[in-house]
Amino acid sequence: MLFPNADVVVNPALLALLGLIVGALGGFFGVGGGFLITGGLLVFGVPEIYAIGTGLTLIMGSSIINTLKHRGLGHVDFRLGLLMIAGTLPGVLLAERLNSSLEAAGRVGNVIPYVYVVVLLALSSFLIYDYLKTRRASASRPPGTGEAVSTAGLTRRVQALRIPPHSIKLPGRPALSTYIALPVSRIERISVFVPILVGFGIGFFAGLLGAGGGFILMPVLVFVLGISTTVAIGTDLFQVIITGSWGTLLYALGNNVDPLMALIILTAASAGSQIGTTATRYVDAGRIRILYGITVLSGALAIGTGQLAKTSPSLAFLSAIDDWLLLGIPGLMCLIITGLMLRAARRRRPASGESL
Amino acid sequence: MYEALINFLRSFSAQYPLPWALLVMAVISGAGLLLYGFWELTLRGASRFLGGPSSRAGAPPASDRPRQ
Repeated sequence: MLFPNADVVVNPALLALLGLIVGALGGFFGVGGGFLITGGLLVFGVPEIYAIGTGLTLIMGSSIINTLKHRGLGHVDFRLGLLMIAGTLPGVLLAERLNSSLEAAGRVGNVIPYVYVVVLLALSSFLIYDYLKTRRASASRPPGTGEAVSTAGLTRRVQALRIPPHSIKLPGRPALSTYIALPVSRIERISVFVPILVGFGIGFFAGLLGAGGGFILMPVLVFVLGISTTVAIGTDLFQVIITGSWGTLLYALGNNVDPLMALIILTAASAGSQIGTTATRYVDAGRIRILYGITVLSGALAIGTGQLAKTSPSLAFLSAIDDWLLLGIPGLMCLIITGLMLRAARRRRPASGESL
Repeated sequence: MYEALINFLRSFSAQYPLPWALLVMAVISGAGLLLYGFWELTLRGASRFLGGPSSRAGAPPASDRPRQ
């Protein structure tokens, strides 16, 4: 099928399969799925700039679906999300400018995959390290007493950060404190500048890599701000709507989006997201994070082998491995998520009478 | 029909960047809302048909906050 804006022929069944995987993983991990979408579209032969633009458009659509679903489960901290958005928008704008400059210099094709690989490798290594370090503590904790994370000291320090100005004086009104409580995230007091700065950093990465930034934000919310994994997932998705929308606007203005392609993937993603979001109710936080780490690692390896395959004709065989890593492991992850959810739901159902 | 769609997408996106960008955002957001509504109705209907509570009922989170 011809996609006129990107001017490329792609099998729609492959796009639907990509959408199904992206939707399920997006709902389960709280990510827009940018690293999968952009990577997948590149594998399907979509030009780089269209892969990024269409990826951001799809992230916007699938995050709307996933956020609405998580809102129903009480997993979205809108106050925290809105604060982060205040920092995200300038971050995305700055990154888009940088990306345009790189593209004008003919460097965008070289730079983005390498940045991706480094960021994804670092992130997955940390997630695996954290799981190995905290799994005994997690196993010995009774249900409902909190998650064990390896950065508990850091989260305490970040929440206690005092960043000036501590209050803002408005004419004719009492001074307004710059410290707030975030009850949904169970944070009693935090400077508003902390989430704003986090949002700025995430927005910059999002715009630079053509992703919604969710793949970094979810771990940042858990390991830096100290928020529970399920609330981090929901809030992350809410924030990703804005990142994705802003990115979509910027890339669509440059005519670097193929909406037909995005619609096909989105339709399939909506089906996958039903599985992913429902599964977060049944799978424990430690498992969610380690599965996420493995998925991110497969993304890093896929993009890395893809780049290696391009360097020399003798390494061209690596491109087949690249395709399998990029779509095979996340596909396998979807099956694991579905299996874990069904097993946990079957265990709970006799006691609570709960259905999916 | 498909040819006409291709021509429209190509010409409109090239000639009117801002309306094009807003149209893309509106179409994708609208599709997202419609798909969410479709799945909610479908799953609630299926849940009712199978005799269980709706998908939102009694949903304890799988975990809570990190240990401080």
